[in-house]
Parts: sequence; structure tokens; C-alpha cells
Amino acid sequence: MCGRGSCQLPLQLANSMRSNLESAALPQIAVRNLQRTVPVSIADLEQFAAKALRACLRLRQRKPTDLTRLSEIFVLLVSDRRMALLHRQFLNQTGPTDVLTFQHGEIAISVETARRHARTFGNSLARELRLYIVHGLLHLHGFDDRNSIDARKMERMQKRILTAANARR
Amino acid sequence: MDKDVAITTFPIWKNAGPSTIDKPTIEKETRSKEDLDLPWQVVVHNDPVNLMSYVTMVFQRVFGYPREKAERHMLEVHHNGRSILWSGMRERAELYVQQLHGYLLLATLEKAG
Repeated sequence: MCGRGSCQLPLQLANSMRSNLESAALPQIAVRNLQRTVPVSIADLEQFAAKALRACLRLRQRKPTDLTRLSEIFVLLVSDRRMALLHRQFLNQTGPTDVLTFQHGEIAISVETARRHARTFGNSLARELRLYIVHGLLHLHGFDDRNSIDARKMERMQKRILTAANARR
Repeated sequence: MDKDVAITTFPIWKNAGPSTIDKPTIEKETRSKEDLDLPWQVVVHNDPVNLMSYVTMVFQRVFGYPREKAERHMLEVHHNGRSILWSGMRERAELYVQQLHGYLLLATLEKAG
């Protein structure tokens, strides 16, 4: 019988088990397009989201976060109308917003708002959507932007994750 | 004027029908007592549109469930495809289903058993 701490596994087997465990613990991420107003490449976004997720999980947090606990994450691309509804239902605020993150692992993104913001800030729509995905993932990983210090810290992390996920092949 | 009023002490219905009354026929109940007592279940089905947080919020609003219980049901819907949210009298169950439809959730009424 193998008691706690008394069982030694061969190094190769232990390593393979560790890598299996790590891959099993990694949450699945999927992008779902729930709007028809703006055409979006879902495959590209999904690929980016998976890389961004891995980069986020590499940031160690003191306590376990929603991101470390969740088994699946959904990025939902919605219309302005749907986003305005969610904004009212959950934050009691009027009008659409760019991104809303929910603790069950759902990141709702308004593609119409993303397109507007992309034009305003001189970004491409793809980059704007990627930024929102990273923003949502960081919220799930315990980052906050309610005060200016936290917001600056989150912005720095956002840039770092964006660069890492864009560069990773 | 009073002379014109015909007053009779004999009940009118006595002349209305046949003098003999047929033996009443009692129709057999189509549903047994056990059938009538069966509770009805409010079932919510998974859908690809509604957010998990939204579904949790609806369960809390419609059934008055605490957050943990609402989340448990939401996760059951998410993982198993369906969850029994409530069971009891048909009228109340119908009302719940109607309310859930109002929130655009996929809900049905099912007989237990």
C-alpha cells in the first residue's frame, strides 16, 4: 500500500503524470458568435483566446481565482442591443458597454461597440476584440480596475498578455 | 287587482318532469386519486443563448432561491442539459413555467413519475 509521501514514482512516469495533470487543469476556452451585425473571424479569435488564457494562468496570484477554478470559459460576441440588456440587468446602467465579465466564466463582448471604439482609437477590430478578451480573462484572474492604481496595474498586465499571446506561435 | 294573482302552494317543478326518476348513472373516473395527487415538475432545459449568470439570476427571482441553490440548478442545466427546479401543484407549476418563458428560458411542465 502506498502511504502519503512514502511512494516514489520513476522520474519519467512522474513527469508525464504531472504534464497530464497540468493539461487537465487547463480550462477550455470557446468563442461563440451570437450576433450577425459585424462579421468576425471566430477561428482566429479562438486561437488567440487559448494563447491569452495560458499567458494569464502563468501570472501567479496569491489566492485561487475564478480562472484557476473554472473548467470552461466562453467568450460571447453579442450585439449592442443584447449588451445594453445585460448592462441594465447586472449593473443597472443604461446603454451598451464594450465588455462584461461574469464569474461563471463568461466574457460578453459587444462587437458593435468594439467596432466604434476601434475607429475612435485607431485600432483594428481584431485588436480591439483581443484586448477585450484579455481584459475579461484578467478580471477572472482577480485583477480589478475600480480604482486608478489597480486600473494602471491591470492595463500593464493587459499589454503584457497581448504582446505574449500575439507573439506566441 | 289582487284577484288576478294566482297563488299556488303546489310546487311547479312537480309537473315539469317525469313522475319516475331514472337511477342515476355514475361515470367511472378516468383518473385515479393517485394520478391526481402526482406532483408536476418545472423543468428547465439548456440553451446556447442565455448566460449562466443570467439563468442564476432568473432562478433567484422566479423561485426566490438563495444564490447557492440557484447556482446549483444552473450548473445542473449546464452540465446535464436539464434540471427540475420545482415540483408541486399544476397551477403553480404552470405559473412558474410562464414566468420562465417571460425571461426567455427553455422551460417545460412535466408530470412526475
